Amino acid sequence: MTNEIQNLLFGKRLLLDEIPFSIQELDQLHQNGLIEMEQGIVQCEIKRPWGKQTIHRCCRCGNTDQRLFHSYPCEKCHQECTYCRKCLNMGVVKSCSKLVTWVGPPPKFLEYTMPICKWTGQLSSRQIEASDGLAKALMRRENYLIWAVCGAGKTELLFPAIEKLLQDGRIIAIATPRTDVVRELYPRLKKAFPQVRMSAHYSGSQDTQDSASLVLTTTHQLLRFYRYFDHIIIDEIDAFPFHHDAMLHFAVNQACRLKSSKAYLSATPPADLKTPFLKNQLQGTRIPVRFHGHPLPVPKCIWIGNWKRRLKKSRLPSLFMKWLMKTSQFNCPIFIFVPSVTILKHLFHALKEQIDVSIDHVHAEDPNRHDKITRFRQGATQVLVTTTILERGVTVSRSRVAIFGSEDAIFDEAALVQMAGRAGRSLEDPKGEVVFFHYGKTLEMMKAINHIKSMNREGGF
Amino acid sequence: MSLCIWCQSIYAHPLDFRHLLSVSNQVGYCPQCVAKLEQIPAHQSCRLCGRDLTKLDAIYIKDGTCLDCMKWEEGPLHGLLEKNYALYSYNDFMKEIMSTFKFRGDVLLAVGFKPLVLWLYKRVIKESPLTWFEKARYLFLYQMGWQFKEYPYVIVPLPLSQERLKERGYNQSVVLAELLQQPVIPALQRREDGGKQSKKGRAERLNTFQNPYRLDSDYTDAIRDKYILLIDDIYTTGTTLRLAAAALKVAKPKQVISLTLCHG
Repeated sequence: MTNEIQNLLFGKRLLLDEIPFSIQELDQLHQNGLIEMEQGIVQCEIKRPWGKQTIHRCCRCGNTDQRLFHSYPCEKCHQECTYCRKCLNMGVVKSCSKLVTWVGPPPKFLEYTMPICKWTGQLSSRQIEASDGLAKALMRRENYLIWAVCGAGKTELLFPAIEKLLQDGRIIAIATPRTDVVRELYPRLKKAFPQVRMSAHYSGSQDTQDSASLVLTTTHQLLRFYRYFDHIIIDEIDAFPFHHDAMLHFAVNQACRLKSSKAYLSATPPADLKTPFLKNQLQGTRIPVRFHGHPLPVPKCIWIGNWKRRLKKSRLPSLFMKWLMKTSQFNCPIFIFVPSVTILKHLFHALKEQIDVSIDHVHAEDPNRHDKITRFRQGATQVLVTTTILERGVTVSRSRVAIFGSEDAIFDEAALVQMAGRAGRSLEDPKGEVVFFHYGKTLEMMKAINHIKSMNREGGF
Repeated sequence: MSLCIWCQSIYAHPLDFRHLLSVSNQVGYCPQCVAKLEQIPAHQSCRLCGRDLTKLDAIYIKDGTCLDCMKWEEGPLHGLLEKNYALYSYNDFMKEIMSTFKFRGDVLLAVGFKPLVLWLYKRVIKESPLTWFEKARYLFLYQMGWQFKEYPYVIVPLPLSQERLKERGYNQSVVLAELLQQPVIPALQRREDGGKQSKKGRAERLNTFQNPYRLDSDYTDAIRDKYILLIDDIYTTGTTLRLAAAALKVAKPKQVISLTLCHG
């Protein structure tokens, strides 16, 4: 019994209601000092220029935004009870709820001595270099950044590094902000490491296991862990929810052990990683070439005038139409990225009337989102109008990319580089084509173009 | 500037004097979320259950009443519940909100409906059998937000069983009832738990013969000869509210009506 609780609770911090054991058993362990119980919400005092202020803090997600707390008279504890709204969808944390952690001896983990990586692909010399660097840095428990262009094969280069670390008995997490990526990556890793005890965590996942050595998770689900990992490898560090959300940074920091290190993977690292890397304060490598060895397609800029006014009248800029007509003749899939959902709908209806190729649209709240993307991948639809949700993690071979209204404030350098990275990802059509349709060039557009050019220059083109 | 309590986006209030002069942060939904809610139009709702009649085929309507209510009036429980007022239709968006509010424990979502629930309560007062002077007085007091000694209606929330209350930590009807800014009278008790209503089918619900509600004998005087307003989160078939009204009947109230957040 104790073993089961140990396996379940080690390295986790769970709510009392989430644990399938009786309170008496847990109390017994608590008295023996094997588990620790903490309050869910604590009040703390902080200093302000005008004096002291008492604020609530959520112990699970670290939220201190007072707008995301609410108090009500609780019938459980018969007191005014505060709950956190930030991490509500992982089960409500209230003042009267307890967070339980295992503080006793750790359970036994499987040991891996034999070669365990069954992956038989080939890595390019640059990938091998990055992989070795990553393994060495993490062995020394130092942070590492891999700055690789879109389509450089970031996932594959992790395999040899993971193998080395697992053989050393380390516990590793691969965290990514998006559920789709976890779902896609899990079978690949399962194939590469068949003997390893592995676990995949995303909302609604079925493949969770206790005391796993390799954990694949979304960054939200890291909140369930507490001082569990030796290493956390964070994929797409600059992707949407992670970059803006302090909660997810908190999740990463509390999920790893006190002596641990992190690895960051990105095509467009944010400034707080880029600057230390360029100043040599953070170790890392840059991979400026794609796995197929061809340069990145450099975006072209085409001025299309006041497209918003035209779109209101259901008219389309003639240069855009000309490009679309020309490109659709080659029978290749075309991404059209737009800044917002309203523009997406207008553009979709206008396009549907004017061209006769198969066309579809997709946005974040679309219920048929996954079906539509699959159909686009299979080639059933040729043109896909989309918002920025498809800016990363999607590989469609031979695709062309148009960014409609690229001067919009929502498209920053990282987003533009990522979207441009959708083109030319396969060996059959390594050139691809990327066009920015704009009404006045912005600084971000120029930065993105320069970014791509400098990567190409570094790659020796 | 406020934070939408559902989608967490920041939105601006229309600029008027009330907002200009107040410092309090308002709790509410942003215009995009409000647009997804379907408010039931006052003059096109069913006379008895408050259902949105614009969504119903004309053959199911007979002089401002829906067919379901006609059947209720012919059945054994007729006349117990005089009228139900509902604020929103129970569409998919409302379903999400209600499940987060009830099963995930997000109490603040109900507090966001406060202005509209109060507005509906004013409508209840306007249509009540009080004299015009009393109506005007109560409406004025509500408008000013003043406290007063007597109230037009006795607010009775529908109870949860003790077991469920312990598990959830709050009663959603009490949370809604407290929005009305007047004392809540917990005059009803729930006997035992016959399973969740929302997990039962329609036929099963209509066949609940044994009344799970019971009048708390301490409150008999508070009910006698008073206008009673029952509060619940949702009116689905009307069985629950009618059974609650039947339980109150023992204390001989003047009138029993009900107010629910949604209908569907």
